[in-house]
Amino acid sequence: MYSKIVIDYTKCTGCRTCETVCSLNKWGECNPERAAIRNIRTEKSGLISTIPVLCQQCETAFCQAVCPVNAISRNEKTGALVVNEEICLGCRRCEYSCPFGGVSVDVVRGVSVKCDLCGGDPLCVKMCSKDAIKFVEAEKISVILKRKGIEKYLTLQQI
Amino acid sequence: MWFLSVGKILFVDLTNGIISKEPLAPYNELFFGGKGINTKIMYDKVGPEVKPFDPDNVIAFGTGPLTGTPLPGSGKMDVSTKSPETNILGSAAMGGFFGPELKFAGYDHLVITGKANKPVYLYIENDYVEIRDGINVWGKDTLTAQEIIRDELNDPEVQIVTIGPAAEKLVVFSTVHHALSNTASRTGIGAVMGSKNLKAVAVRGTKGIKIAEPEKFLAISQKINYDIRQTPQHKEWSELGVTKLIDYYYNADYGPVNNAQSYVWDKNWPCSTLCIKYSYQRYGCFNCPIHCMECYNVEGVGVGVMSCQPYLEITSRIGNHDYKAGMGLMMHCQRLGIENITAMALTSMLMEMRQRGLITDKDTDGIPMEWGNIDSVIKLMYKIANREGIGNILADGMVPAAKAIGRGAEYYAHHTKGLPHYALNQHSFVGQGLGTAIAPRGDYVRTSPDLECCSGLVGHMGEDEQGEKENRAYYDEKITQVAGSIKGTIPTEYEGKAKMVAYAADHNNACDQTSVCKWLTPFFDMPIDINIQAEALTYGFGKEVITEDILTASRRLETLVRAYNCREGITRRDDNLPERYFKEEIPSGIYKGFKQDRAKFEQTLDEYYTLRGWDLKTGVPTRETLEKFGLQDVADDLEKRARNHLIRLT
Repeated sequence: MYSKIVIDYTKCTGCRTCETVCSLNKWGECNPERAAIRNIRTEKSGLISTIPVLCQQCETAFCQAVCPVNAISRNEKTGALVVNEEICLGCRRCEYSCPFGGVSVDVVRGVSVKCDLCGGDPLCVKMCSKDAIKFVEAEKISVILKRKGIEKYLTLQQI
Repeated sequence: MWFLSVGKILFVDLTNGIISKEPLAPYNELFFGGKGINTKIMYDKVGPEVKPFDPDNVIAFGTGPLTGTPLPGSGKMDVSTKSPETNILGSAAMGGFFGPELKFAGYDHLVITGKANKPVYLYIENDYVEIRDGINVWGKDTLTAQEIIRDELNDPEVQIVTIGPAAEKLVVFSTVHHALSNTASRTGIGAVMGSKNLKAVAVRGTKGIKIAEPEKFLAISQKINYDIRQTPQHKEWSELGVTKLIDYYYNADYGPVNNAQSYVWDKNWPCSTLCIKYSYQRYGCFNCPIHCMECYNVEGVGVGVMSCQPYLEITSRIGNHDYKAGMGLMMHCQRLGIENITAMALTSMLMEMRQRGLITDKDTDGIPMEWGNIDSVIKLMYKIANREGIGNILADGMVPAAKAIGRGAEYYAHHTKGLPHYALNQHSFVGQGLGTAIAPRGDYVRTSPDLECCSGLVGHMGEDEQGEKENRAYYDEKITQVAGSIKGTIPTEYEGKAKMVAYAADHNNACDQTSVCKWLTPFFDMPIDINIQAEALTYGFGKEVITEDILTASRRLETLVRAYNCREGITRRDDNLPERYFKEEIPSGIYKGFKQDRAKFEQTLDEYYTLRGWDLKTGVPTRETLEKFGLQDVADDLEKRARNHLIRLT
């Protein structure tokens, strides 16, 4: 029923478009530090790895569980976990508890920021020129990953 | 309140360790940013009395108003200095992530003067600026230096520009290197950094770039992002970078072979094959949907990223058919911080001289400079980086090296104003030749009439009959529009070429100021033309910018750069091409029998000077032209020097 963001990190080129449009869309300024998605790059001895990281919209969410004022709740339309900024204390408990670094306190506004799927039509998905970030119905993700898993085999067999 | 631009220039004086922050105004009244403002700073601060390695030489890193925004291609910045390779204005465009980070830190421009008394690197984090001890990184290659600095600063997100060992030894064609393969490569800016004992600049920024009308700006960014991805070129370039285009170049006899002795080379897609077989990932610059770079990891050969022009330099120019080995050579050049085009131009000069028996292996320290001998070339690169033996002679650049070697070397040294030519056909593509002859820095990267190249490629891009007809019709119409003559479509014809060069230069001088990578402009048949730039700037600034504003600023920049170089002593005599292109008929292939015509070439120079408002005899911008662009102080300055017999105006 809900759609989830799925990252294909083998396709990401590290262009940081996702970060820039996220922050511009949310805050009216271009500032990757305030974006809900972040491109994590590692360069070593001429090799490069670039992986976008964002909130996984967990089914059982630590951030929601540890919030002392219940500021994080599931949006019924999108399935995203959303921060109620009126209540949020900026206490950082959610930040500490998330295993992915998917939520953190915005230094300018003092409240937690995380991906909210742009209300159901994520901008990063539309702007990613490599389709490394996709928005997929949750039930369909499993077979897509399995099909991708055998891609190399198909190429070998020249299918 | 600043929008798009962040409103500050950071000045760093390395001699006295003085750091100051000045407002961007009034520099941004004449130019939008980038190369425009950099050139104005250079004109004001670095006159003919200052030599390239003097502490008073300036290095200006300049972003544009669009740098760091989501309009595609916004990673570019300009780096300018007085070039030790040419002794005139040197400048290079650099992509990647350094420019955006500099703006996130709160600076549009970074201007470095003076000389540190020991190796240092500059660290900028928002308002905090520190000149740090560079002892741990001095001597390290360009990739290792960045890894050490990231560790030392304990910040994996910091963006770094660095020089390699070659620049530390003041090799006049050494690069400024950033990330894996972004560089401010040509005109030896790296050597100027080396002369200042400045190993690197590391920047981290966490502030934002404010946009006046965010929704409209986002909308145009989205539209352009979408439009780019619908173009037929996008699929090819985003999968194969420019490697397929290079295959087309060789089909069309556009790539020089063996130091431009001929133009017939391997066909059947060897360059794109390298990319398909060995590249493990696509990579690109900030906010770019084309990601034109290939990532290679070939054991025992090379690990790293490369793209674009070097594929021609490390193959046909030096007679090398082994593209994989050539990639490995490029990785050495990158790590040493040696600029590939000059390095290969010097290499192919030696190779041809050896071929003709003018030099022997003794003259090259026992290294056999045989065509295609990559091992020899790699050895030569290390000699250059260490300034050893023949390397020490070559490290001073093409003009001094040819003079020192003698034995007719000048004939095989293909350069204009001291900057060696790109390995691209400027012999029978006369528009490219003109673009090179008048080019501000010596090569035609910003003045190449790319439409002429495209026209020459029609029929050589693997099209079927229908596709070829369509391409032909498209370029015939486009070129006739720009050149005023259908002859502009023919590489060997001179008619209309001056207009085509001016058209290209106008567009490049625009995107060099506003900060859009020229791959995404009509230069490569992509949508971000001057109209789109004006619209984006209007939404970004919250103040109207019209196409005419950008075009005027663009032509103003062309005029100011010319004035700078004329102040240094450049005249019409220096707007020239190698003797080979006029003397030798091309021996084979599509353009067999063609050689350039001196009288016709001079006439295109007349035409170009007339278009620009430069004196026909000297090539100096006239007072009328300078004043038209609001550069009266420059006109006064040039007149004063003429009165003192330092230059001639007419």
